[in-house]
Amino acid sequence: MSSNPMPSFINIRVIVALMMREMTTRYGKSAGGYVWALLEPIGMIAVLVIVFSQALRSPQLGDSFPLFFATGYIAFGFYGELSNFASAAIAMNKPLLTLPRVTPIDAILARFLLQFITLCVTGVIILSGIMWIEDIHTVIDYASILKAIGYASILGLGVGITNVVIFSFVPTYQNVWKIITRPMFLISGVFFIMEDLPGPLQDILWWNPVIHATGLMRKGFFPLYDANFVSELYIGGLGFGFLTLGLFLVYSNRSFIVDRP
Amino acid sequence: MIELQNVTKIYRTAGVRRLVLDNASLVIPRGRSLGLLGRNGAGKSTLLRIIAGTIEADAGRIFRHGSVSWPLGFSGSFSNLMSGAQNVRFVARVYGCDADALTEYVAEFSELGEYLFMPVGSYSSGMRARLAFGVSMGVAFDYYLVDETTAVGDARFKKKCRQVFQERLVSSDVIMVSHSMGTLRDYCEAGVVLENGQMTYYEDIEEAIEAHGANLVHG
Repeated sequence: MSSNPMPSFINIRVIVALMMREMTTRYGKSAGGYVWALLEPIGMIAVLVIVFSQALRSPQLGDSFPLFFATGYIAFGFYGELSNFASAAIAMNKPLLTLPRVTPIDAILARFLLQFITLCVTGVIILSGIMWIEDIHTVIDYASILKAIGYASILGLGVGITNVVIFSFVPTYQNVWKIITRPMFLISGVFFIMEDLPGPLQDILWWNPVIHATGLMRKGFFPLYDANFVSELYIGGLGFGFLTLGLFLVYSNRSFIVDRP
Repeated sequence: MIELQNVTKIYRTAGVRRLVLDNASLVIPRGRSLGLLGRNGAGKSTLLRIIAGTIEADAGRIFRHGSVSWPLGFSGSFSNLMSGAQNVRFVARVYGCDADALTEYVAEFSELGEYLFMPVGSYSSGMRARLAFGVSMGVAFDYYLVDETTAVGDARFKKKCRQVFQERLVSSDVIMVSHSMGTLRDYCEAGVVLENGQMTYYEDIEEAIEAHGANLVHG
């Protein structure tokens, strides 16, 4: 045999194996297994919708509070969850990297892809469920929705990959990251739309890239909303910027990432 | 053949930097099992992991013509939440071999019986080791890497491990780190002595053992 089994940087077969492994292990001890990954966000949205629809009588857009909230929540999830899942990929899979075939990028991409698919499935279930229950008929702008999901995911992956390397070098930063990332849920347009904020606050929050994703998502579901503030160049540029930086950092430090005691 | 060209590796552990390989080169020919010798802390295990591809050199190139195993009996990749069989299938997928055939082989070799289908977290350390050794033996490699462990389990099972491993070595080679000169003599034809970041290849393991002994005396 004269194959060259040197592990390449990315290996599809390994990624698929890692995804199947994660599906078996994440909810390994509870009956129902991976179904919980779908049920969790659905339950979460249901609870939040009930709580907030009591507090806020009419939504800022459209007539349905559940639809308004869910569109923001789901778009934010693509950034928030994907960045968290990618960030923790190495810590969760450390012993596996001892198998020479499994590279850090395999581990990161496997977690990213599995969570991305999970988010897509739950997103479709939740949004179509709401539209069915609330009997909503609207003209859906699929291009805006796909862009919202795409930009949020790339930003999440980019931030996650970059974090993997920083976490490896500075473990304390993990705690700092938890603190600075927590308010993101509140300032990314899940509960409000940019246009309802006072002008000076708009100017500040414009720099939060995730608010551009929630804006695009709402534009996709509410035909009368044009989300003029959104800059695809900004969120896209930042996303691809982090992704390039992260891939470069992982590639140039892969030995350290695997070997860190 | 495995070739290391001008390889440099500085191993950092807890803030201490140690030069394991200093612009060192080595050709490991196919067909001759190799023992790695060197004083404690010279970096034998690190060298083994560089050959495996688990960690990378800081400089230089490594060419592997032929498949290289993970260290024999390594069980760190097992998930406690998955059954032994699920863990076996994972390794099979990663290494691209037939999952059913590998599971069958491991079931027979490891003698785990019904435990094979229970979570690895419920295993004793001995059962875990038997599963790991079974997986190592079940995947065919051109080079098997050994860091001390050549057999696991009780006396009878150890005998079986050695027997199966010997069968593997008819068509495969071993690259081995061991503190036991007896084990090195049993398995290896050639030897490499790692000293001060340099590797010296000896055609005969006896010469390597002698050179290693001389290093220790004059050290």
